[in-house]
Amino acid sequence: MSFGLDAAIRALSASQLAIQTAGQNVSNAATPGYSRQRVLLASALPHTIKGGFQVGTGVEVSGIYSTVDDGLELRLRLQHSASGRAQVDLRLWNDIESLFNEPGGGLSTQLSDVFSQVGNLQSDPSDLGFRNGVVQSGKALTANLNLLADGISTIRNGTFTQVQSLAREVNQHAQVIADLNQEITRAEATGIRANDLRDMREQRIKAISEVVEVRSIERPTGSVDLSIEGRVLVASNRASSITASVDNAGKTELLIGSGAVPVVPSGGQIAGLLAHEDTGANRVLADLDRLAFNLALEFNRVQTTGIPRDGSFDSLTSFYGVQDTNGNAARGDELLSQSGLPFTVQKGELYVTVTDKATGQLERTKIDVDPQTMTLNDLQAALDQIAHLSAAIDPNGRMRISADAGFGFDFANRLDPQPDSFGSFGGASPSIGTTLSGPFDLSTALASPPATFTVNIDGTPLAVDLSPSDFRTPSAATAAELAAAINNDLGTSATAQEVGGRLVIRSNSTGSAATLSLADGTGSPLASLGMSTGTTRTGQAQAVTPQISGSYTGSTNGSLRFVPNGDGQIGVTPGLTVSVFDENGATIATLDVGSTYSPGTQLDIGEGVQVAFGAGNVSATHGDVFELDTISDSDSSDILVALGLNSFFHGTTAADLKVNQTLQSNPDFLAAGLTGASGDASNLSRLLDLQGQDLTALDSYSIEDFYATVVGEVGFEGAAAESTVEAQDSLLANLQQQRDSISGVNIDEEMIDLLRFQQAFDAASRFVTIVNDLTQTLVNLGR
Amino acid sequence: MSTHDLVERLIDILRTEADLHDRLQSSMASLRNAYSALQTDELETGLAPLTKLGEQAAQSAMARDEICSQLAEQLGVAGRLTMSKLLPLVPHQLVGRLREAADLAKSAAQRARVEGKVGERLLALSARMQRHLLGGVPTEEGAAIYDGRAMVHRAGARRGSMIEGVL
Repeated sequence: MSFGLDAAIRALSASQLAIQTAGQNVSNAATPGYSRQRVLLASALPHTIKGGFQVGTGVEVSGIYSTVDDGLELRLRLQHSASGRAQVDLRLWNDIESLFNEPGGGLSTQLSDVFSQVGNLQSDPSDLGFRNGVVQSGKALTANLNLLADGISTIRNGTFTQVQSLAREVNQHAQVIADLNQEITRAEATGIRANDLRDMREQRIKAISEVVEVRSIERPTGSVDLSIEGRVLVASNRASSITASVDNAGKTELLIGSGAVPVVPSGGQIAGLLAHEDTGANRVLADLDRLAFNLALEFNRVQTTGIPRDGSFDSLTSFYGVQDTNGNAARGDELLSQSGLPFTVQKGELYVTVTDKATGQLERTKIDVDPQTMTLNDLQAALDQIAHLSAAIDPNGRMRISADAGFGFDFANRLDPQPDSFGSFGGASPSIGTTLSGPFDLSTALASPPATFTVNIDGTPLAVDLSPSDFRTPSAATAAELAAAINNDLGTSATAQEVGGRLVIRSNSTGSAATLSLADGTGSPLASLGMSTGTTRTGQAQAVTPQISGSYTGSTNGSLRFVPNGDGQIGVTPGLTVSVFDENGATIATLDVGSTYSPGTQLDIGEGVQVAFGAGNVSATHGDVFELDTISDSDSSDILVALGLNSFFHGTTAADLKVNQTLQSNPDFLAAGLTGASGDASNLSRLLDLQGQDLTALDSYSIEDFYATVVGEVGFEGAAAESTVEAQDSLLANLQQQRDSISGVNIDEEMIDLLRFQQAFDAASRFVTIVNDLTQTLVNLGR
Repeated sequence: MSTHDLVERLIDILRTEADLHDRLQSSMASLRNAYSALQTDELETGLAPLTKLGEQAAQSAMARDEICSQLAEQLGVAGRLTMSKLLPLVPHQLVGRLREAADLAKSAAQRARVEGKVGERLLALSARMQRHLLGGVPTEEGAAIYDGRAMVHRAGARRGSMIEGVL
């Protein structure tokens, strides 16, 4: 590791040129009749340094007492300013620190307690007491967070009043200094030095310096001009004034003169107040807001995609409404990205599951959400299209979703326990499917349209026509396009459907008497599709009905496709296997369901998913297939969080974060599970996972560690402020002592010495800044 | 290296770092005090030991990073490695000593960091003082500037005279 110390030292050496030159000129500047060019030529002892520059070594100067005084007085004034700023900094950090120093550990303990209560609930998710415990711990956390934010806001909001008061103080001193300037000028015009008046003026300048750092220049007349960051405060016998104001960003600013020009002082109490408002209180508040926002975001992501104690929802109304940002007096027609929702909606997917409460049958629908092209009206329409679900937007821009009687809905990522609802995998109804997934090239079949084939249902032929207009691209026809086109001709006797990218045609008759066969016609489209023709598939009394169990633990949203390898009877036919493919077509498991398999036995296929097959026949020849959605994140768009649909927290800042009032009234709405089954605590595991999860938005800290970092930084700033005051006070005392003892020194040496020591400290401090990185990593490790 | 050996090595490094940061803090505090006491010579000579300590601290930090990476890999710790994640996973008999060494190192690093911050602030003050002290005096070759001080003290100077200062 390179410290860059070499560079710092080189910079130090290089700066000696400027230091020595400056020192020489400062001293010569006090010599009557001096001009730099002449002195440099006249200097008897210049020396040449690297680069060919000649540097003077200084001259003995007599009668420079006033310049010596000037230098020291200037430093003393600056030191007063620095001490004033440091004192303010210390006071404000102490105030903030006291807010964090709560008995019993405060917010840190309360954060841990929330997770601890979630852990308790995990042991019995149906227990109302445990549910209440989670809600109450959340309430205690948010109450304390609100209090903390309020306390810091009060400290920050006090800045304006304090700056205003200090500005008045400065203006009074400035006016007195202007008056004294006039008196000194008048008195010294007679050739007599007005020492008493000068002392009085110096006291006033020091008093101002403590409040705001000023630069002073003495005129030949004896009057002193004062300026703040280049803006005149006192010029001869005229005094300007400073005032406090609030800028457009809500921050206090200091204005000077009748033109009300903003100035940012470098030292003094006002500088301390302004800097602290910006980088002290505001920074701590911003950190707490970041904590609150991400706490809400992460908790709500889990809560909104879980299932409450009593199962799926009958109806839900969003907490947040969209705003009428385009000003057309209608809410819902703005893009989601411009709807004024408190959380950002991402481009992603929302999975909605509708449950038939009588049968337990699930229907899952995926809605693609793109905040750049989708409005809330579009989302409402998409939800409204789902069978047994209705959605509406109220006048406040809030979304209300309701299920038909006998049905419920949720947004959980649960696995569908019976994914073959269509019955295309050894179902009771005969089916024939393609043996490969689409898209299919029908360009040859459709060369002389229409392409035709016949579907024979229980011996009754149904003619099917396919036209080029049925497909966006006939050479790449999708299974869904084919299913739509075929269903137009099938009527109620049979149904075509896309299953896992394949086309499946299924009779609507069930049982062993039901038959289905296909016959190709014009253009031979079935041959192009690779579908079995000339054979008759019969239904069966007992469907295979695959059963899924477990919770998907994978990290991406996808699907699994199950396909038999061969024709035969589950649990009977020797060597019969089922292949499981992921959404990319890769084989992830081959399951033995042959003669050694006992129907109904769960088989593990990885990532938390198990499957069991009932007794029955399956056929590879007839394209048997079923698909299972594997959802890791059922709302990768965050639309549920953004709308506040059964959130845990409401609000986005430390000041306004609250536990959802509905949850407070009825903790049963806490979404502990993902399946709706009694005792299911799988969603609580996701909540508990948050405790140790490093979040990018929190600088890769976990929620608790981030808070510990905020507290640590407050403590660090307080300690640094205390040491700074100590150092500044010591420096001030030493400067005062030096001024008191000084007499008849060589200004050249004094200045060079002064600058040498400033530069040496400069180099050391640069080193220290680099060391700061080392200490920071060690502090973080110790958390 | 086994987990046990890695943890033992980490404990050693943390103890070394605690000592180094204590000495670093102490050296920086000496410099700060020399600055406050206007002791120029001590400021200049105080840099050398600081440099050496800093290099040692950097070497220890690199060794610690390496051990931590190996531990994280062996124990399956994801993300930022902290003691709260590490301690539940290390051999039981080492937990107390590791915790103690980490606390020592953390405290020493915090103190050193505070001292560094104070140094930064004094640096900022130094820079301002230099700007003020050199105000009105050219520091670059060929510069020409209105020199308030020269005007004040030069006999017979008229108000507002421009001195053609060339270094």
